[in-house]
Amino acid sequence: MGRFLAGRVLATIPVMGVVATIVFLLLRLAPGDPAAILAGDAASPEHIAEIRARLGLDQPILVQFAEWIGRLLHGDLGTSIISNQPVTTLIGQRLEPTLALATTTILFAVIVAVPLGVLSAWRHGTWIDRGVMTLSVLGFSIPVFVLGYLWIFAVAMQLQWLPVQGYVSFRQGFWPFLERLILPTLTLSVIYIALIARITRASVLEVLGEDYIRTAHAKGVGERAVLTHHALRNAAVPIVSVIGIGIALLISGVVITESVFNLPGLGRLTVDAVLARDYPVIQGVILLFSAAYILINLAVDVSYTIFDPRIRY
Amino acid sequence: MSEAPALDIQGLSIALPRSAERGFAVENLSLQVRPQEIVCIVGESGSGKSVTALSIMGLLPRALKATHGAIDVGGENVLTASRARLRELRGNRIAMIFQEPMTALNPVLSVGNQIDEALQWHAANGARAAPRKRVLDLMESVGLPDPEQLTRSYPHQLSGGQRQRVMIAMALANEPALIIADEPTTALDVTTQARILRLLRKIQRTHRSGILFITHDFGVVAEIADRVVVMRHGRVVEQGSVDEVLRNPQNTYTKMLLEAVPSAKPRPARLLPKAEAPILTTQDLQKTFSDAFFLRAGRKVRALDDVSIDVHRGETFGIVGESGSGKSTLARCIARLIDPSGGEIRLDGEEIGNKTQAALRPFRRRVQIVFQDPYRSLNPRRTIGQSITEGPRNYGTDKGAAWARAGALLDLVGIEARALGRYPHEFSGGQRQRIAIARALAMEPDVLIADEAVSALDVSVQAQVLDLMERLRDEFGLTILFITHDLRVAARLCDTIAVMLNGRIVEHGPAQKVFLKPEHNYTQALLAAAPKMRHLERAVTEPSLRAKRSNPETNIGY
Amino acid sequence: MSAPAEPFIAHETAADLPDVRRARALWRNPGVVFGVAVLLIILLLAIGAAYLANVDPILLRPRFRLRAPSAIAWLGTDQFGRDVYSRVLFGARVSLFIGFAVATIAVVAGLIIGLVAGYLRLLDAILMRVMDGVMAIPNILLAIAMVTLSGAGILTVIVAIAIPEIPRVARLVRSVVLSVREEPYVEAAIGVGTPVPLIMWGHILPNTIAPLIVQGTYTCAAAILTEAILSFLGAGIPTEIPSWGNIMAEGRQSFQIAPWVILFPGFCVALTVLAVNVLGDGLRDMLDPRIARGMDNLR
Repeated sequence: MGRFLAGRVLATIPVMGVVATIVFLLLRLAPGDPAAILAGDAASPEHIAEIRARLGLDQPILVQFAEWIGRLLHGDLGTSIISNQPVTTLIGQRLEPTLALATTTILFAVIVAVPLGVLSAWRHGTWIDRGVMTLSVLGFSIPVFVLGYLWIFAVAMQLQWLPVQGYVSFRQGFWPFLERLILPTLTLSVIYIALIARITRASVLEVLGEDYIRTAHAKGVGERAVLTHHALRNAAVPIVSVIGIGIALLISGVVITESVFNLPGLGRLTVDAVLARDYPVIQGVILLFSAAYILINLAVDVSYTIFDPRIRY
Repeated sequence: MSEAPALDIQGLSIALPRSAERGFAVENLSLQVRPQEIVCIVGESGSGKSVTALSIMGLLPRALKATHGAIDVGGENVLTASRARLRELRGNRIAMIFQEPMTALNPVLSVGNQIDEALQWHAANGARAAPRKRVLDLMESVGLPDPEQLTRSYPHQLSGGQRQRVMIAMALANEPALIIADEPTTALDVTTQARILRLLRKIQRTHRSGILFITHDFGVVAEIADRVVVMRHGRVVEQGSVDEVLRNPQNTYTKMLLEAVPSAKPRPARLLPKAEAPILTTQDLQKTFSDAFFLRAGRKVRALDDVSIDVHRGETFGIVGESGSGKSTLARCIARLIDPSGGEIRLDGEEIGNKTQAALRPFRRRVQIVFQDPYRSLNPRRTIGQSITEGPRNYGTDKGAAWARAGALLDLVGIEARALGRYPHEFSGGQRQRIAIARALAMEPDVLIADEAVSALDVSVQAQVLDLMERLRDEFGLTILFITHDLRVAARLCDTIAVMLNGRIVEHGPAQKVFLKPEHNYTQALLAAAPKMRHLERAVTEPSLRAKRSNPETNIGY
Repeated sequence: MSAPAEPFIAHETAADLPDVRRARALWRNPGVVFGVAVLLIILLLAIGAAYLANVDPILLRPRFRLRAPSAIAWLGTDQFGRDVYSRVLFGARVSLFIGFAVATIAVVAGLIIGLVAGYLRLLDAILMRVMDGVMAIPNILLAIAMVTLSGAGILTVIVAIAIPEIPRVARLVRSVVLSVREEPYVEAAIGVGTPVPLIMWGHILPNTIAPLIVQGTYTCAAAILTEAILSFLGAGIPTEIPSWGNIMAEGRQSFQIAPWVILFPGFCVALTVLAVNVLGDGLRDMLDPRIARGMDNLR
């Protein structure tokens, strides 16, 4: 097991390297002068030259890369063009709403989707199964923001049950905090639920076809125990795996959801940066999210050892 | 004995879905198993034997329904029992042992946990009193070593034989009246098989259960059965005590099956053209597999360890070994599908072991291989004509000539030449192996390697394919390297035999000598373990018997 | 080693049937029928947009701002008075085109990468790390970054959406190649002297076609969604060319008083993407249940 874990941790390093390289190259492969892009649209030629010197953009590419990586490892993600603040500060200010939304979404999605998927597999071929599958295809097909607006339209505007937009930190009160997160969570989690439910169903179905399930039946084990004690534990690995991979979907969705519901999180930060062509912020957010994705998937890999003794020994 | 039978099947019929080739999986089946009796159901694939077993447990797939008859276990008709009642009976009064021990155990639960489960679910038996001790006792009674330690292990840490013992322990847990064993030894090595059969005989003596044993191998039947039921196409064709059926079979099909079983008597030595230099030799051949990658050191497996053989023109050289012995690795090294790690391979004097894939081109046609799995060795998307002509066309034969030759080859192996345009799925397993042989012959090879070429075939089909190989060999003077785990098959065909164990050759010599005067312990153990047809000792080469081997219904060779 | 399974139980996998027979069975699958029907309708509407639209889609008519759906504007007007109905019709062209173009690029690139990675172990490690790296970056963000740097335009948007979709296709192709390589019939082909390129072409490639078609439909659906999202965020197609995404972008500020500007195009996106997804599912179920299971894990 130690070897497995060490291997997994080591494997993340080249991947992060590739991410860093892609981000680095993006700026330098784009048409136009990197310094001009970083300086912004309204910059004067002197300002551009100053940026070029400061960031060492006139030096050979490999040197630039090494220095850039060096800065990254020290936690320096650059400075925003618009607000002139360090990107790390900006990120720090906006982190909480995004984290809150992501957490509630993941929890909600897993709690809803896994039982749905198991139920669907158990009652394979019945209307429950077909219903769940149809709903999940629908869930994949509606754009996140359209769904968000639909919720707003129905719940906030017509029924007036919940506030339309905005965010309240939970330090200022738990219920207002939660209240404003309900619609965003419902919006963002739909696609995640659809994905997890499908994989859970497929995984459990596959496991139910295995020989050892037949053996369990032959021993006289009750149906529910076959499902939970035998099937689910074997189906766990692909399910957990897709929860990890789905984080990428989640992150993309967060950007839009915050936009629709006006939550002052990292997503909004990104959108504003796009409109203002504030590249250092975009770059910083990309690096942060990618690192989060890689680390979460590493945790997922480690969790396999809990589920599957063949990996442990 | 006036005791009630453990199992009493009366007139059982199980219908097939309408899309199937025949109406019933099982038709009008009646049989009985008494306590402490072992009854064997013998049949080839499609005979309905497995379906019968599953129906007793109430585990039939949804598409199959029992339409007539009754299955009586301990006075209760299983077919009319409620689901709840069935659950109570399973693992309790009726227990089942399955064929593939690798997949029949849950990989994420410990072995002790799974045995305990069988006890847990039938707790009314009072075994709850000291469950852990009962589990350990069970494990000991089936011959598992070090039960205390093993109880915490997972299935993947055990050998095939040990896993099967675990399954037997689970079956015995609640002292069932009936134990159904569905081909429990088919997936095991012959030495392991012998031990498991011994264990089952011991259980027969020490427990009250009746055992229903399903198999396709008459040798196994001869070893353990008290009574035999022969099934074909869902019907019972013959039934009786093992002595009656084996010594004095009444039904044609039974007779054909019995004759198809190769006996472990080596063929009389052939007269071979006297040896010049051997056509194929290996010298100290090595192959080590390792899963190391970049800086990560992996595990190493020594599949071949200093293997040296000499094969002469026209000889049939047999390589016999159990799984893991390295015999398949040897075949694939010689066919240069993999690269050896060390040593030499010489074809007609020329070293081919260290040649690159590109340099091997001229040699490829001289060594051809027939694989084990007839269902996967032909590309399902290509017609068999395309598969057979692929090789010759690689070497410059033009399309017309290649197809004409393919047609002639098909004729030779007993398939109509018109079938060139058909796809593999339209043929049976035996026919596909014939096609595979035709494909190999299309290259006009010097050496034909048969890598377990008949192992996946039914016994009667196996015999037909072996007949074919013998005929082709005599007609063309083929040199054959015959790889098998089944000594009886090797005895049928081979002039020389090499026995492999753990990557080494432990015994090597003319077939007569190896069979009648084996020197190495392992060879002796293998011979002792092979299921013996005590009741039948016939030489298989009698021409009158061979004529009867055609399919009794259509009278054409398969 | 075990005796072959009794035939009437082992009809599960259709893997032995030639593709022709399975192709005819396609039309019986409700998903395929639904998907193709809806897509054909949308395609016809898109092609005929010039004839079906009753107003110039980029015409600004300040007098008719934010009118609810009525006789003069069937689907209402946006904040500049532009006719939503006409814009939606023309938007269909953009969305379908982008969907198709992205799917084609991703499939071709992914096929090449996957074949190479599957067959050459040395390149495999490198290629797969690169694919992992691309997959680690959230695809919207990557697309946003690329569009921000290169300026908006249809070609940029297509490339920006296609690149994050390539790794999924590559992984799928690679897994097919790896599994087919182990098949005895491929070894047999090597044994009769078939050179590597012919093995790729004749034995391995045919096995990739079915999964590629299915994955291609999923990629198309994802591309249409992504374009909508990108344009909605302002990092997609510029508004002179109407696309469903930028129609919705324009409707953001005024959503509370004119929800139709977002809801109608949104419905169109959802319907189109649904049709493509359902088509993909139907194709997958028909072509090979085993591959179906494998692909679910990669989606």
